[in-house]
Amino acid sequence: MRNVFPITTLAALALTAACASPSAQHAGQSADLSVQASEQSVLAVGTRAASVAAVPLIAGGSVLVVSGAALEEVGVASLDAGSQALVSQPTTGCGVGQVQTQGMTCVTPDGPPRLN
Amino acid sequence: MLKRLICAFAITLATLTPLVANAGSSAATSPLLPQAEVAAFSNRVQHDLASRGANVAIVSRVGRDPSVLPNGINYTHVAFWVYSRITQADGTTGMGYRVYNLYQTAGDLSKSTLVQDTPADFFAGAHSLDAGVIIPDPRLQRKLVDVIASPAYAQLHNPVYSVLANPVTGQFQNCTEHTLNVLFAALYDTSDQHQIRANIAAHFEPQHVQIGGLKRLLAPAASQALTTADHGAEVKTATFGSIARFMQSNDLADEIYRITPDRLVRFRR
Repeated sequence: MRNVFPITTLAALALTAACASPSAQHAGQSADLSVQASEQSVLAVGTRAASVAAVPLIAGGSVLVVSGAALEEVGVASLDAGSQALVSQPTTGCGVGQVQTQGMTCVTPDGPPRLN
Repeated sequence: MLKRLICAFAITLATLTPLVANAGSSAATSPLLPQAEVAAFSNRVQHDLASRGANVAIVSRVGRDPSVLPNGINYTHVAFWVYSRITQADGTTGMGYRVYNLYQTAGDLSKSTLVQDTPADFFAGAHSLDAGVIIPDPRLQRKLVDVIASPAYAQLHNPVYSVLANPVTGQFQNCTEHTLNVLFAALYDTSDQHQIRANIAAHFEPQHVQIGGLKRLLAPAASQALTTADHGAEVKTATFGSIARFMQSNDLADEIYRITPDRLVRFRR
């Protein structure tokens, strides 16, 4: 029985990043929810992509058309990883500073990301 | 020893199979939360994002009881929410957020599909009304929209799915890794997948997931979606938290917070 715990714990991994889609049942229900959403002047809910066209926008200004008050901040939490420090990259056949990607390709990474 | 191994194998299969089956499309299950609450929360998140002027946000949901999730993992699904002009089938139009998801494919959970849906669809399968939100810097939001609206968004999708995909190899992919790839494509103005993975390896610290050797060995027997064949000795995968830490440490985010129906908690490192 002592072995059961770690094995059942593994079951959670099946759902860790499961990227699960809502069920057909859920989708149908959420379509119904669109009535409630539209009452708040929000085109929030519809059916799946087949019946909806959406054009991404970059809107100016600090408040978009879907208006509403932001929730009040009530506290601060931590983003700590909750795990030990990671080890460095494993040894590869690549040169100094290079990274080996799938297909054994050695690629030199760019510098840290910057927006300017 | 052999008897214990066989026992462990049997228990693993018995435990994992139904859970994996439910991970991709839980068509047979009942909704966990009342419809009205899901609708209200979906709109609350939309309103909150809109009030902050977010054209693009990275939003995550809690799909499982957090007590059964590995240490360091709080959210189980991540997607881009994009402020859009939406035209319905009946011709009516309006403004709101569309959600750009990578979902496991119904019927074959070792594969994935890119799916656009609504905020309420996004939360329909949630275990609790709790979302992690990253609002990128406005300059990055513009870059993200460019990538999401371009062919690169689909080109960055690898349909071979793994729950614990290694973000460096590209052999498998899950929703969080696709989000990460789109993010790096936007940051570096490239759709070159080798360059994106090299940059991820150099600058992104994934979440370490503690999992034993026996479990790693047995898990793929329950589902190929549980493979860790793309990892070395340690299993490290992209999570909402690891993306949040990356963006925070590189000054790429305007705001990072957790939102529930009645509270908002800002994350700080």
